[in-house]
Amino acid sequence: MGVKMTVKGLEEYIQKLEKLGDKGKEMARRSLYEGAGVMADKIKSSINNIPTRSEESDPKSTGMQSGITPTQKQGLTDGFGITKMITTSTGVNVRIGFAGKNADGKSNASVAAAAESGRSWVQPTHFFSQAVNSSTGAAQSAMQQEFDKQIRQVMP
Amino acid sequence: MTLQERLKWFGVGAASICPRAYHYTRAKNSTVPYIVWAEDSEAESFHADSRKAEQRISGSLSYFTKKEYDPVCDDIQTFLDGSTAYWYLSAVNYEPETGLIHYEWRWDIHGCKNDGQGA
Repeated sequence: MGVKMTVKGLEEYIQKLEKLGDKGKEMARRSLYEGAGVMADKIKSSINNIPTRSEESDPKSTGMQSGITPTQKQGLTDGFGITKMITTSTGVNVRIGFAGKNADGKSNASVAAAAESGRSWVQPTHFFSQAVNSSTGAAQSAMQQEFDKQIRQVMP
Repeated sequence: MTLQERLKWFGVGAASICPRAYHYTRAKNSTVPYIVWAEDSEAESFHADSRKAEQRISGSLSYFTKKEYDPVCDDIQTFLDGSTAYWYLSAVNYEPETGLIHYEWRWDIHGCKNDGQGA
């Protein structure tokens, strides 16, 4: 279980770079990494903004609770990261997400999914999707800048 | 439609699928099945001539049920198709603590404008 997000539009720059052959692939990886970094920074900030609630939560409670426990938040902070580049038949990909378990032994990916979508007794935060939506433009710009920088080095 | 008119239209549609359809948060002691929907941010909108030509709004719609293969899920997807929203099923979770199945859709609706010229 985890949080999955597909961002459209970022592939445009990657496709341009891939046309440059082997050199293009390396350039694509560098550009993608820049964009992923911008998005990851926004998500990190979004994790910090998730409301914190008591460590004790009663699923049978008829009231609604907001946010995650301090232990869960620490787990998300510690377990957040960017994977290495993955080359597939569709191009170069990178994944941003959560790994490992928190101090309570719960999967950070599972906690992230619950915080994102909520539970019947916990308000959703949509911290991940909102961070992705709000940083997509900046990530595209970062990729474009890196793209231009790389092109200038190859074709001064 | 204005922003609020568009949201109200969406809420009426959600209520037509499931009588217990809540905006933002469920009612205390609400019984299953029920829907909770909420707008949460502006999506990528369209700007022209230095002004916002069309506003897109992002949000979520959650459906909580105890019924396996609940046909209401199909009704929700039919509604979303008819709402001209861009949407996807973002998560399906089983809550072992409550026995509920939680479906969540993310959506972007367009056609929100303030000058009455929207869709």
